[in-house]
Amino acid sequence: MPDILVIQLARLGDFLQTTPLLSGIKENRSDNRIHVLIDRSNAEIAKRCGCVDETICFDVDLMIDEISDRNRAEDVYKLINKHCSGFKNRYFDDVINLNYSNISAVLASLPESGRIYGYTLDNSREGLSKDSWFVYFNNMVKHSPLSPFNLVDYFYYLYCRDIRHKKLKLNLTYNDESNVNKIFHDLNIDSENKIIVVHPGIRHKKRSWPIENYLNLIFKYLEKENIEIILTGSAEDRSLGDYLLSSLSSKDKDKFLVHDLIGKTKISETAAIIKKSDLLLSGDTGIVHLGAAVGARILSLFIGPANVHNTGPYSHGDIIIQTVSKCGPCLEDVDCIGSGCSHFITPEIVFDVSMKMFTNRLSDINLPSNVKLYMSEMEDWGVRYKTINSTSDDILSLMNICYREIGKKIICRDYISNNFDKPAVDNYKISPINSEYLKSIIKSGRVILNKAYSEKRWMPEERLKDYNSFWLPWIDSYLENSEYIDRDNNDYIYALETGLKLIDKYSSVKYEC
Amino acid sequence: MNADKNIYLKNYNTLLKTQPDLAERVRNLEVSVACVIINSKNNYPVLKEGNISFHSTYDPVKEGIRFVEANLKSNGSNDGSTILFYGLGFGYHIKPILEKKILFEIFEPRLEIIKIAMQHVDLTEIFNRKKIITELNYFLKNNVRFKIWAHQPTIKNNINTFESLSKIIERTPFNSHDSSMVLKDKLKISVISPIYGGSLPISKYCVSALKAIGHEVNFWDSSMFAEPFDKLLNLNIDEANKKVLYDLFQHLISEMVVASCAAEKPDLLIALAQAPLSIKALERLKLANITTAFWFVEDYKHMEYWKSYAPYYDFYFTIQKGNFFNQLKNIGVDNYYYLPMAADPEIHCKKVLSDDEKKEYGSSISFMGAGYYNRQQIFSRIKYHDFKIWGNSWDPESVIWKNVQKDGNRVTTDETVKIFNSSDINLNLHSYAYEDAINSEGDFVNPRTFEIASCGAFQLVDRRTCLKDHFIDGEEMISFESEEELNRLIDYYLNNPSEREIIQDKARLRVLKDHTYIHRMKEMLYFIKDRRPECFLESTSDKFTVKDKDYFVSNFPEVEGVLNKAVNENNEITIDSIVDVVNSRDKDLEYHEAVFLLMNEFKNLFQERTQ
Repeated sequence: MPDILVIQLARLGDFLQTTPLLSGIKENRSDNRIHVLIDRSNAEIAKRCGCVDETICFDVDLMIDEISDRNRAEDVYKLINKHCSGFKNRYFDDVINLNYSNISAVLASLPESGRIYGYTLDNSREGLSKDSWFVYFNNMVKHSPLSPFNLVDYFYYLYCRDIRHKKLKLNLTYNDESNVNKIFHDLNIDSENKIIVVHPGIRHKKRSWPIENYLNLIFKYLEKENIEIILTGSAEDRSLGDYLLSSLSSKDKDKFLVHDLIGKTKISETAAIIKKSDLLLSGDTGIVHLGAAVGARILSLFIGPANVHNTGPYSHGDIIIQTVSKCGPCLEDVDCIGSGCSHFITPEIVFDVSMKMFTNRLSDINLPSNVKLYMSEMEDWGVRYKTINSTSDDILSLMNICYREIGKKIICRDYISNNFDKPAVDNYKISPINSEYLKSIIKSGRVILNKAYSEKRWMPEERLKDYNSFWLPWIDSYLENSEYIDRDNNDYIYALETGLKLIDKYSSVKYEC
Repeated sequence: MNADKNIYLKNYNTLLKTQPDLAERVRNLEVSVACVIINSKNNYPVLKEGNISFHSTYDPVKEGIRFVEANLKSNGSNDGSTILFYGLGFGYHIKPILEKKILFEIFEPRLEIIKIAMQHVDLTEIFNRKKIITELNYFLKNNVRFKIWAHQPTIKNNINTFESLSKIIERTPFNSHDSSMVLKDKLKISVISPIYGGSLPISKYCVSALKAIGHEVNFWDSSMFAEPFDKLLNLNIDEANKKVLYDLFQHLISEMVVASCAAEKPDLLIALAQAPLSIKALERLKLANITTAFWFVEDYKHMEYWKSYAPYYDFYFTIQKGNFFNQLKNIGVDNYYYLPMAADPEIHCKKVLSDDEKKEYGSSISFMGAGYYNRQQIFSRIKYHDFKIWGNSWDPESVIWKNVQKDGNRVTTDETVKIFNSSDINLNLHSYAYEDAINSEGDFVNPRTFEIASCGAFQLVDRRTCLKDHFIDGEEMISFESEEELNRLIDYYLNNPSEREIIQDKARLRVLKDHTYIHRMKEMLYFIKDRRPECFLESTSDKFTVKDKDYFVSNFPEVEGVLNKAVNENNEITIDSIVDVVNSRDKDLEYHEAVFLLMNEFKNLFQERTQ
């Protein structure tokens, strides 16, 4: 009976995005025992995903608090030892560490184990593992604003090697749903009306949509006769709820069409509320994944560093409004160098999109060039996001499409259908001729990008360097140490050529390859 | 030069609007600075503390203008820095900048200076424009680039704070990436009680108060040695030999305290009067960098041991001021501070008593305390029959022995509270060991005054010079200064119970507002923080430095090998040196090594968060 430990210390959304991996492990072999090491806040959700045998909680914030009360190293050691004692003398066949942090890497090394997947300490204990497949995967998602791969797929393929239909897991109970029925009844919500859940809170400032915009949007909804709004959020979002409610006119308040549940529901109840509603409106935050897990209809606003391809809802048919900024790709921890892009998405756009979602007339929408509309689409391999207003495709999006195709094919052919234990780089032999050809194409691609970006002044020099450091290392690492390529397989070339043709077709500047 | 009440009120009312917390703290502050106010040649008030004059005694206004002009020239804010006036003084050197468009802040480390300044100069213009920063913590929390304009007299009087402030300003995130310094909200404090005596319960009240305001307190209760100590005192041996044994006994207890401190590493040690700490122990605590404070809750005129011990404490708190301060200065003690007695409302509270208890403890008049000479004499002349006397050291041969309860044995605190609650009038006569008189020159107020008041009980207390500093005489407290007056007041208040009730209620409210041990402990810590802020500074790296390797190894034998190799060039074992050892090994990580690596990660996180 293999014991597998999955480490996922991040918040709600990341844990939900891990659930396809957990269920995949279970489905692969039913006697696999799954143990998860998670943040305490996710304990309730872990119980409900239906595939976890043991939940081990680790609360970093609590430990920081407790350390502040300790005055010497011996007491800090004692404290940490106490929190980790559950790992002493434990054995796991496999440990999968999904977090990019030294803390999780050290935690992964605490129990004895057969093999550690994901981030782990290297021999010097200072860096992270240089396992070539891991580096390959890591490069796929390293710069989240540029990544063409969804985090769910990254988590899944890090360990599982079969292609299957995947879905976020969250089981709601009869009690959850009946509790919500009672809440709806108590709020006197009219089941004939459209119910829109509005979740204004978001942890990352650069990803947030201004609260004034939410307010103006609510005003627009209230002008409609048949819409009721439910506000959701954690207790930390209380001030947002207070602002929205206090800004409503007494006339609007008297209609009792805006219901404030911020900080008043458990996660499972929030999930049931979203499921029962007609639309969930939120930024790129955990609630979107909660919505995807219960099959809610989602309209999500991806702003700044939020990249739909990387963290969009893992679902089919949901809608994402993505900002496209000339100063992008936007990085989370870097001060905004532009004027901010949250205002690209106006309340009018969101209102228009949401109304057209109800009537399935999204293709009619006209959007400004700095805003794109995506729809999630499930394919066997994973999720992708196709543009609804495709004429506004930019180079970044086209390159995303191109590289996603390449990455997908490499993973499908070399990783999934072959022996995982062989390293990513030198497992395959590529013919010198084709190798040179591929390299030249890639080189051309870089020239195109450099030229395009520098001519259009889309980004400062420094940002361009960051950008280039992302673009190709995962393909380079595959190619540069290879000897020959299978002549009958033109997947890579096809993918690259497709990408370059697309660039050529849609770019206003013509380039020679 | 006397304080100007009108100027003070004007300043106070302004401060109340701009900084209500500071206004409240200043209002409650007992000024104990040995200072004088003199008039400058052109008739401006100038503060002089010891030999240091805070401003020019010729023309402080002109000097202030020159101060600003000179600093603007040599130390201006052209680079976007904010000017930080170190020292408010009487504000002459700050007022000229109010007319200029320059960013500035004012830091004054001593509240006493703010209060004295408020009593003599109009500071409303400054208060309206700027909040006065009084805590170093402000500079840790605010990411601002400062340029210090130092008021030299303020520095001379408080060099430690200036050095700490300079260090903090150098190390704020704006100026450097070193975030290892934070100001502690919670101190680790050891309180050392005496073996017995009146300050034993006070030490317990201090412990409760310190805990209530959020500090971690380790109470060293020396009363656990009371029994063997009694045995020692009662040994039928030569007095000289007894003294030798006594010294050895005190030495043993002192060593135990030092050993305990070595393990606990308190930020501050507070000893109460007669705490059994030897001079050698105090010297070793100083070497161990442990800040020590002594609260001398006794009359310095009767207990003279303070002369030998006071210089060895970092801070000396007294219940008397005036001449005592001069005497402390004469023996080289600078960090003294007046901290009067108080009550603990959790203990000294209103109590509902059963009929049996009322019968046992109640009386028309009572006195609870030891039988000092003046009490024996004066009480023997009180004519009332229903007069109970409680406490020890009363003379069985005297005429009042019939009034003495429990055969003159000590009474417990709980019994004391019952006595206060069930007596119509509690007499409170301060001791006077050698005179048959009421000592109206007495310069401290005993704890009983606050305790009876805190119980909501009525008392008649002999009028002390400083009583009016604590209670409004005639409204919150009724005092007497002669036997005749005492007898008249007893007559009057026995016959006017409703008036007693009004006064005792006001007295209780006053105690709750101003005279609890919580107030005193806060004041004590404010003073220490002002004078020695480093006591409150915490280096994050300290948490990650091994302080007691033997203790560590005894609990976790597996770490010994790593620790032995991790001693760095400073002879310290830090998490950094431990991680170096762990990382230098080629073998697979062992469990305890992984825990060390995790500690290192938490150190980084902790520093990030505290920044």
